[in-house]
Amino acid sequence: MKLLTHNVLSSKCLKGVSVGYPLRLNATDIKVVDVDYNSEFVSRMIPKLNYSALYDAAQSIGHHNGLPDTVAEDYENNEDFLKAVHHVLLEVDIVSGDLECPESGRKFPITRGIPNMLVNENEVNEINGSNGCNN
Amino acid sequence: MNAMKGEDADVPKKIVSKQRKAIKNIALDSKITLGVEPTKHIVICNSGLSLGLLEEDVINIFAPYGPIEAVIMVPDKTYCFMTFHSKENAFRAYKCSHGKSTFPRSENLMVLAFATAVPRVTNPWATLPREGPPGLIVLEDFVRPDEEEMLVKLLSWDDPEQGQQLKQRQVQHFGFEFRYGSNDVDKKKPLEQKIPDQCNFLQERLKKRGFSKWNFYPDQLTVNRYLPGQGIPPHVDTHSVFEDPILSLSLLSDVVMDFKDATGQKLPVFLPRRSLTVMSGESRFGWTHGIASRIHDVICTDDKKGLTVLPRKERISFTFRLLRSKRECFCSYAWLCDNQKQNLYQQQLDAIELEKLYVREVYEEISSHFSETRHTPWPNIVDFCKTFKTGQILLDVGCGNGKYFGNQAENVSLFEIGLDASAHLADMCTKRGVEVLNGNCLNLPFRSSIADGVLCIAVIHHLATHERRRRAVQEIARVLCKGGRALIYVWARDQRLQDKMSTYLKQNRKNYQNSSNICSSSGVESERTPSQPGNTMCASSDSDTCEYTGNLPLPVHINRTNFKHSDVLVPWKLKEKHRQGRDDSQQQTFYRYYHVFEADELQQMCIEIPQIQVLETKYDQGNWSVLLRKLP
Repeated sequence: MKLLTHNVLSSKCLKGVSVGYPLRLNATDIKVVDVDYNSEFVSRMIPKLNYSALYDAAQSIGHHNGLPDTVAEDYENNEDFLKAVHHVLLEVDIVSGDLECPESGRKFPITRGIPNMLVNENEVNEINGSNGCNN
Repeated sequence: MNAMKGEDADVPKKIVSKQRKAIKNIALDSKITLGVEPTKHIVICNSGLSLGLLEEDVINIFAPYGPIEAVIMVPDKTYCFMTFHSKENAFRAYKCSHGKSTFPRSENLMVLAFATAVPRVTNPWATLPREGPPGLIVLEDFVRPDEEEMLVKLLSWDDPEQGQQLKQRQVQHFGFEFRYGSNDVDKKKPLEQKIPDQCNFLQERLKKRGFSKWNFYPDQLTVNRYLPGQGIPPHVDTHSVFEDPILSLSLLSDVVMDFKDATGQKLPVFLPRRSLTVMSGESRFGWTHGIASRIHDVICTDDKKGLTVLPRKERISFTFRLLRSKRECFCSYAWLCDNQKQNLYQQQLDAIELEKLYVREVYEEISSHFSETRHTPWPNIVDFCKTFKTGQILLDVGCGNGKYFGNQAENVSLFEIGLDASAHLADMCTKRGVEVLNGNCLNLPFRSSIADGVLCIAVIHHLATHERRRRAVQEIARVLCKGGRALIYVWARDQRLQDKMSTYLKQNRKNYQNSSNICSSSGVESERTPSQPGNTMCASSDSDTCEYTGNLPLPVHINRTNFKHSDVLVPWKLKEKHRQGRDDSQQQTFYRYYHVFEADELQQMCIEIPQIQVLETKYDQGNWSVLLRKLP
């Protein structure tokens, strides 16, 4: 699991959980892989990210070296910054560990690089006709 | 009277403070500006219809101060308005009464204020249909006064052994006890106390009044006794327990019963003393009824123009009901139907179990074989993938082995995340080096508005209720960003459109021979089901295309034929080499649950979801597809 994926995961669907974000990351096995750098990709991704969640996640697994704690000004033209973000987003791969809901403490295991986000029907709110999407 | 001023030193401080609060609250409630600056309109802040003040009372009290143009009694309010002919008259009335006079039948000092206008009150009785909710009939003077006396004397309310004291009323049961906890009766335990024979004349009477169709003999009677101020909360007589209609006799006094339907529409119905209320059809099943706990009811004045109040007195009702022989109800008012609510709940449980046994567990079993058959991406879906740009996020909900990854346009770098409920299929994705997680489409584990695109191919047809399928689309809508697009494919029930066979049907050997134009591409759900030579995959011409097999919960579809049912089990014959650790030589058949979609069904479901727009609906080789966009 890449940290970019971690950045979009949430446990909001759990009963009684209102935000469920960001999930706490515990990594027991991390591998660093090479991914082609694409500055356009990274700079377009930055506005979609929750940057502080990315920074905190990287820090929690000790892979935040070189990553500033806030988005650099004029980041589109800041190659060093984009490369640091690229590395953290795409090249740090969590092979095993778990993700923990910040509100309920429910843990979602990560095995062979795959987070298991499956929930039982009794852990989530009942399915009914109402309730659209809340942004 | 030189300077008119509302504030006055001779008014008790308490009243001044009450007035200040009332001006604020009533102004909010009535949307009329109030104050102490004199006008010709006066608001009586602390009495009105709901406290038993009558229009006559207002006229009697205030007429001495000058001609009154109008008195406006507002239903359900503790305040009312009046308009004098002149501001001077109004001021005089105010000066003499505010904080000084009391109301009739009360010791409360009057709190008055001035208003810039008076509310327009519509008489709730004036616009009512005469008979209230459809199916409700009130037969006036159904019993004579002597019969009323006789019926009332049948009961003793002082004996604690007799009847039951509820919070807001006393009840006695005859024939069967109505159990308030479970809202039903125990048919195995009839009461010793039968319905008194003295009630039998009611049947004859009903026939005489021309209602012979209700010639039914009730076996359960509940007698309620209400004292002034008491009532019964809004309820519906348990659908699955009692037949239609329900008869109720009103004795000793009149009352207003409030009926409410699913839309919240409220209809007060006047039940005069000695009348019989027949609740049938819609009024029996589709409306709740109740009696508000209050000491008087607001009713129409005799001239039908104004409103007045009717003080409550002791009232006794006899409610006659007939138990259903079987506990069931098939009315069309599911929101009030205990039977249908129970069924919905059961359906939900059944759906979870069905999906577990016939979708999730099966995919785990057949995953490697399934994956082998899933290699050719479907052209329309690839086209969709090619519309995304560098730096966008594309989710594949129900990604299977990940065959739609990497279909973006040349030189475009997307971030794709796949999600599948099957652990084996997710493992296959990881082996391909793509980003994947295990999850369920009903609860997408993503924060809202993060995806530029969502693919959901051949997934939603595995969900076993309409609510669950809709929820899956709702979840897709939730995770899409504004302007984001989703492509959804489901299997169509109709495998021929305008007499053209889908690829799926063409793969039936029998059809194959007859078909001159064979499409070589594999469909979303039309990929060749694996088979051994001479298997029974093809339907024989004279057999039904669906069969029920003893221990399976749904009809089994015969592969490569048109669907006969919307909810079916589709066999999957597992190839020998994929059956690890099993040494029996027989081919094993698994059954996957499918809900196959009617024309329009998918589109209709999507239209119901407010945040999204259906850009396109297509029939594509035996599948229905929709292209959605989340509204910006």
